[in-house]
Amino acid sequence: MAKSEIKLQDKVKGLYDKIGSDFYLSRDDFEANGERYNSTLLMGTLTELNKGNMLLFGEYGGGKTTSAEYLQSVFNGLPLDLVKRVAIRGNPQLTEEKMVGRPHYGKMHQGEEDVVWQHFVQVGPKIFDEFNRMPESNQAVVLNGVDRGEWNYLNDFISTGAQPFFATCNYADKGNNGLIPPILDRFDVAVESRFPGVANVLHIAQDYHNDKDKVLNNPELTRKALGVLNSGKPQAEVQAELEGIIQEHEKSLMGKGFSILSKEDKEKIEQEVRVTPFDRDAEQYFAFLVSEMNTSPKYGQKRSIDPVTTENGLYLQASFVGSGSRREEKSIVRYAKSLAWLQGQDEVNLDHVAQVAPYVLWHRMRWTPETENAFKDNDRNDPLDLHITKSLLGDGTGEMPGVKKRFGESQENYQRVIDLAGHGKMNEALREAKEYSADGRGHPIFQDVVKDLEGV
Amino acid sequence: MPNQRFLDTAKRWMNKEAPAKRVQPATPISQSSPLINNASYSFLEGDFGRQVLEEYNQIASKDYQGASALNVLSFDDNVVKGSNPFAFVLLNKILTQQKMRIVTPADLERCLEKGELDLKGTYGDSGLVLRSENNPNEYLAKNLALQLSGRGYGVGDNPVMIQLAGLDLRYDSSSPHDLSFQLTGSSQFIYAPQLEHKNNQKKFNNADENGLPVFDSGGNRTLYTRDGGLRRLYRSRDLDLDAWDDDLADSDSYGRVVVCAEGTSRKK
Repeated sequence: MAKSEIKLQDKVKGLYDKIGSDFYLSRDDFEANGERYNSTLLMGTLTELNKGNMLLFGEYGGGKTTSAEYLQSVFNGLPLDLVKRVAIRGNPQLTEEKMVGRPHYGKMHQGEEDVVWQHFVQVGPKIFDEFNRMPESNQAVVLNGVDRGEWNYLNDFISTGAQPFFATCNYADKGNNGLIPPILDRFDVAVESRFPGVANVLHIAQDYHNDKDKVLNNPELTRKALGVLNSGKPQAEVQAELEGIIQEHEKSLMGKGFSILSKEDKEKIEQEVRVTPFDRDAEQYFAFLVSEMNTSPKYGQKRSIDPVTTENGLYLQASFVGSGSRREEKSIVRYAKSLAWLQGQDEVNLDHVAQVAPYVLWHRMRWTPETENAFKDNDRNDPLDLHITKSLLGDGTGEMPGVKKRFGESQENYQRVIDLAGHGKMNEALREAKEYSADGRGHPIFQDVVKDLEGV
Repeated sequence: MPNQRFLDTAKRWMNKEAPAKRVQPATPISQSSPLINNASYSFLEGDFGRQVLEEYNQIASKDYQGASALNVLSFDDNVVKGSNPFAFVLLNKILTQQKMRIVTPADLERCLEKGELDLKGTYGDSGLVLRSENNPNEYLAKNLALQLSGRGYGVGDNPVMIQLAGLDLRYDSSSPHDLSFQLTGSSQFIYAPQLEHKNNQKKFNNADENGLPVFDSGGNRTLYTRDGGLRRLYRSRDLDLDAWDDDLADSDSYGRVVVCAEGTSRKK
């Protein structure tokens, strides 16, 4: 059922449409409940609503950075030129002092300790360009700060609260470092910024000096903002003055036909998203997915240090190295709820979860060579890892069926166990769960239910 | 003590009415292992086929007292000929040492889809179908039913399809064939309602991931199946699927061993 009050959804969709039609020209490659979107813009929009972390992959000049800049500018009322100035560009020499803060050298010479915070830290919404050109240790410094919204240097710290964060990565080349699994796990979603099609490129190519960006730039306010950031004033004052600059910029944007999301709007959206419930199918599919990623009949649970085995059948657990994480499960919930909210739905349905989950998981999954071999020659539109993830979280193939297909096959049995347990028939529920578990060859959800019912 | 959070979730998800008592046996849905995309199949032939058959004959003679049901394979026209479930289980034991195996019902369907081998005019076993503890093959049926019950599988309502690849063979002087089948840790078996007698002579073209027919009245292949006891499951010379035959030891020169070679084995 659609919500009666959809004004906020309209505002957000208005911003999404504005970016898509005027700034980041792209093709739709994502569909949920019959509505089509561009995955980069949609996940970026959901990242703004969620204050999440998003990773953008793509080729050089493929629009990764510009899409992030437009999203941060438009959704946060920041002049585009300010967004560009405070973003960090990764390189191997980047140190904590260049990213987070440095000693106040003048005061240091006088024997005082004080911190000069870098602009990147002081401005809430953040972009880190070419993130994988930075060594892993420094990647962790940034993500620790982003995760908590708190930044430490020497004995000082500032807090900007949770804020949307975008990091761009070129595909692997000699100039970049790998992203290790714990770092990848910190990103809620990942997308590929794609070739937008010839017609769009012909249009983009005529925009000699990014003239279209002028409408989002505001050199005067940007200079003013940089003055505030360099002022050395206490953070509370800096944030208050920045807020004033943002409001001033938003007024000028409103005059140019942009809808504006106020701070109150964002708080209201966050509250509405948070209370959007999952319907039964959506939550049960999610339960099946979690069980397939985290259980192992052979080794008790799935671990990165155990070998991958197909001994108990080809569930998702047998296709990748590692295990699920609590972060990724939270990401699925938050992004699925945000999408449901954006579509004006009262509940998160199966399509919301099934469509969002691949974008939450593909950058985190380490598929086995056998799994990659099974898909590498497929015709596809997505990068290989995303292609595999979409397939194996969906219906899969004849040779490698997917989670959604197994969910369809086993949901009836699962519901029986749920009904028996819900009606207090514990012994029957346990007996049937054991039967469906079939000594570890049945769906992993039943192994998990047996443990819950036995209280072990 | 059950996990209270699970019970709370069950309360939230449960239907209003408690579920009716189940009349059918539980049907666990298991996920069979995959085949790799580049899987290729071959007949057991050439020097390798001859060597395997020599080893097979030695083991049959030494470990299985030369049981007649195993004395059915021959090497002729440069290929191993003959097929029955006993022989294939023993062959599989030998092939797995070489990281190979006999094909499963699903493999056979994939092989047909890929058109890698011309299977027409040959037949080959790939499974057993257990429908009751009675005749035909009552002794072996009871024996298998007992083993299955230890794994939570009841026998009686839905047929159980057991793949030959993954079974073991035991010399058993009590058995009419002096042999009995043993489930192992890698045995694959599923309830297969498609193989109920009511589906006898139904048409199909394609199979599901377990190698069982997906019925299609316009299909040009036929399933032959009937009730009772323990029967073979094999692909017949017309590429039909036969779950009717109760002569477990029978074999003729149209039988062929189709092998999954290294690189096409189940993923590890």
